[in-house]
Parts: sequence; structure tokens; C-alpha cells
Amino acid sequence: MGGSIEVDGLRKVFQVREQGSGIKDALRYLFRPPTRDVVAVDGISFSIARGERVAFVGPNGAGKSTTIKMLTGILHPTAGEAHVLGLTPWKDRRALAYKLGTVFGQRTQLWYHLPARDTFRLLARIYDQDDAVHERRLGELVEAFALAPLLKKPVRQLSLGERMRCEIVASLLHKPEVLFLDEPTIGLDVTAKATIRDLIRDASVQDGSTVLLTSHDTGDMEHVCDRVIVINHGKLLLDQPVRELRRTYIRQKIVTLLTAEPRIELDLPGVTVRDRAPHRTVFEVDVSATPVERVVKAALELGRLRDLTVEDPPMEEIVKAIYARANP
Amino acid sequence: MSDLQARLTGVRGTLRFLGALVSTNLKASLALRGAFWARVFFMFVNNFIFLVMWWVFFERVDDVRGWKLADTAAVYGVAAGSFGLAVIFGNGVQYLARQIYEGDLDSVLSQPKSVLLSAITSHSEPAGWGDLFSAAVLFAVCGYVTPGLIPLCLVLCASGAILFLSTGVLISSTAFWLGNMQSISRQGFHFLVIFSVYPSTIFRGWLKVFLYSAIPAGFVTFLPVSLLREFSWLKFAAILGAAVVYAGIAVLVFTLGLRRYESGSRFGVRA
Repeated sequence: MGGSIEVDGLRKVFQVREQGSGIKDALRYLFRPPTRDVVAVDGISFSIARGERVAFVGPNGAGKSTTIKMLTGILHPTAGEAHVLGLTPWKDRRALAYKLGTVFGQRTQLWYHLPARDTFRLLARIYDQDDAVHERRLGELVEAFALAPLLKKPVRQLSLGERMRCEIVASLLHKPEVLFLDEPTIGLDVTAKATIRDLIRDASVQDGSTVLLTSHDTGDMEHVCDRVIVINHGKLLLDQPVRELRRTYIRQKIVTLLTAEPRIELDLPGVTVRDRAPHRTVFEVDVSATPVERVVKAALELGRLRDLTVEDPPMEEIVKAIYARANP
Repeated sequence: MSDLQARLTGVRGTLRFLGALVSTNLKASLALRGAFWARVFFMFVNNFIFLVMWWVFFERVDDVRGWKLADTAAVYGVAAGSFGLAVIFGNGVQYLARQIYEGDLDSVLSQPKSVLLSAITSHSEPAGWGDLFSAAVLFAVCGYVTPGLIPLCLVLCASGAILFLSTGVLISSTAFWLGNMQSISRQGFHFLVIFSVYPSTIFRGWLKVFLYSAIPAGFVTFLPVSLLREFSWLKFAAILGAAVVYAGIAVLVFTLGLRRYESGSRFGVRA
């Protein structure tokens, strides 16, 4: 497999204006605003082979989105080099854009008052796609993403999950070689998240495209990617296969039980109480000691279950664990 | 593929893209039918209220240094036509400073087309159609426009629209260096409208120089109206030349500023 993304010592420093709180500071800000350098990305290096699916994870403000924006040519770096499909993103932005697909979970490229079909037609022109090729590709994606009932609905009437399916189709229409996804599941419910993850993975497998996905949701990483790069404070903390990260750092699941009984106790190996309130107990479960289904079964035997959620530990905790392991 | 062929393909692709963008834009503004017709109607009424004021004025005053009601109607016609075209096809210019300041150009930067063209053609203002209807009526009543001059009127409105958009882009691009310039850029855009509809004969000396340089009102309406009264190739070339020069400067300043662009992380929708 040839190199798809090569990053060497990439660094981005933003100059941030700082405003004090008093009237004196406000006046000073008006004439000579004090500035401070904020290092968003601090000399990171990595490479990604063609067809690889890599999660780029870290807590909020870690530098994930800034890195993706440099790799798509949106931002110019302060220092360092990067090549995507052999091109320098900030120098060859337009040539590279034909080969890239981007989804920014917090932004939309869909026209709010129009059906998604109109945006898709416009995108065919943006990417100089031939009409017949566009229709064929759209047909494939509409089938794969089950979009047929949504195509004629104005985007403003779509749910967040439906909108995200349309966003991903919009980014795949020109059959990109590299797909950048920035928080593609942000704000979605559990079912929509699962659907989106499956669709991204299947599309990448089918097209042989490289995926670089940023998220602070460990579930995105586990279900879509084979490899994970963890960054924090702009520095690379860890670069390893997902299965290894899972084995080393994601052994815990957070299980929340809402019960008819005010209080339940579980005496199982690797299961500890993380938080408790009347009728609600949050357990931390070490799945290498006790699988989640065993916990649920035990809870059902003890009382009446009103609701149940199973979550991965927050990314902040995983980063903390990585730090702790690196600096014992 | 030869270099020339590649360029031609590129130009064709850009034109097809612009056509699709304009049509998507029109569809988006027509999607809210009630609001569309209300804005068209009220803009039409608004333009004629101003003309009625001037009519009342010229009932009492014969002329302003040779400037008559017919000149005012022609000036309003060119200004309304130019502004209408500018906001129908490029109303994104009124949001450009905010997009720059809030780091909202990411989606157009990730696409393989001109960032500036994509940004300014990303919004359409329905009221612009009210301006275009007003322009048609004003040209018909001013007395200077014969049927043979209709193509010239269209060219003058198009060059005026380019001047409006270029001025908007220039002022908005200062946001790359100065931060939040949204209200100033809007004021600058409307400043040009205000100066464009006054009788050109009241401006003398440095103010006249100002209106043919920093604020190109002279090229938007004053020269075009004198051209409608009496055609001159020199004036025609000056008007088109000014549109090309202002557009060139606007593109240059925007391109230089784009290197300083800092993306934002605001949640957003595309209206």
C-alpha cells in the first residue's frame, strides 16, 4: 500500500487577542490588544497508508480539527510539512479537493431550505462530474444510505441523523480517495450513531478509500477504524492498532441502571459503583473480568429494570490513563 | 490535453458551476414564497418613495446645476439595476466579513472552486428583483433610454454590479486583518448606494476625486448616466475599465487575506 497521508513536524500556532475585565483593559484592548500565542498543534508526525481507517482522537481542544483543516488546505501551518496523495494541501488546495471528501459534523454543506437532491446536483458541478456518472453514483449511494424517502424533503425538516446521512453522501459523491470526517456523530442518538458508523466503514471498504476520523467518542474509533492516533495539547500521545488500545485502555464500560428498587448491589468481579442516587446506579465494569451481559443478567435477577445504558469511558479518562502509563 | 484545452475545460467547468450555483440560490430564495414576494414588492415601493420625494423637490426647483428629474430617474435606474443584480447573484458579499471573522469559509475552502466566487454567490436577496423591476420602469420613464439603448443599459448595470461587489469584497476583506468588520462592510456597501443616487453636479473638487476612487459611485452611476445622454467610447471604456480594475484589486486583496484565514468552530447552517 502506498502512502496516502504523510505528516512531518506539523505545527500551528494561533495568535489570540485577550481582553481583560475592567474598563481600563477594555480601552487598552481598543487601541493595543494584548495577544497570546496558543499552540494548537505542536510538531506532530505520522503517516497513513492508502485504504487505512484511522481515528484521530483526543479531548476537546486537543488539536484534532486544526490538524484536519491543515490536511485539507483550509489552514496554513506555522511550521512542518504534510503531503496528502502526494500534494501539499495548502499549496495545491484546489487540485487536492477533487480527491478529498470532507464532513465537518458541526457545519453543513447542505442548503437548509432545499431538498438534499439540489445540493447533490450542485456538488456534481463543483466537482466537474459528468451527469451520467453523477446519476449512477448517486443511485448507488441512495441505495446504500437508504436516502430515497429523504431526497425531496427540505433539509430543515430532516432529523440530525438523517441530515448526517445526507452530509456523508454529499462528501462521497465524487468518489474521494481520502475521506476526512470531523466529529461525524456529534449530537446523534445511539441508533443514529451506530448507523453512521456502519455506513462510513462500508463505504470505505467498498471504495478502498482512506479515512481519517476525528472524534472524542471512543465508539466511533472502535467501530470504524483499525488504527488510532491519540493527541492531547497538540502533541501525539499514542499511535497503535485499535485492538491494542482496547486491550490496554478501554477495558471499562460504564453501565447505568434505572431500577424500580431504590438501591441495588452487584457483587461481581471487576464491577464497582461509580455513582449512586435513589433508583439510579452507575457501575464501572471491567469487561475483561465480567462481560456486560453478565452484569445485566445479575441486575435483572435482583430487581425490575426501568432503563439501561452502556457507554464507553469518556475520552478524557482514556487520555488520563495513557498519561499515567507513560509517566508512572 | 494541451494547455489551451485544459484552460478551456476549466473555464467551461467554472461557468457550469456558476450557473448551477445561481440556480440553486434562486431556488433557495423562492423556497419561501411569501417572503420572496413581500420583499420584491416592498423594495419596488421603497424605490418609488425616493423618486416621489425628488419629484416633489423638482416641482419647486427647476434644476440642481443642470441636473433635472429625468437625470435622477436615470441615476436611480442604473443604481437600482446594478444593486439588484449584485444582490440577486452575489448577496454573499454582505455576509463575507462575518464569514471571514467567524472562520466560516471552511466548506467553500474544502471544495475545488474559487473561494471568493463560491462565497459571494452563496446567498441571493429576493429584494434585488424589486430593484430590477424598478430599474426597468425608471429607464422607461426617464426619457433617455430608447429601445436601441437597452443592451447598453444591461451592460452598465452589469458593470455597476461588479463595482458594488468589488467594493463589498474590498471592505469585507479587511476582516482578515482587522477582525469584526461586518457592520462596517455593510455600511460601506450602502454608502456607495447613497452616493450613487445624488445629483453628480453637487460634487466638486476632492469629493469628486473621492467618488471616482475610494467609493466608485462615479463609475456606478454618474458616468453611465452621462453615457446614456450622449454616447462616448472613451466613457464606455472608462466604465468597463474601472469595473475590471476594482474587481482585480478586490480579488488580490481577498487572496492575500485568505492566507491569514483562521477557521472557526461555530455550529452553522447554510440558508
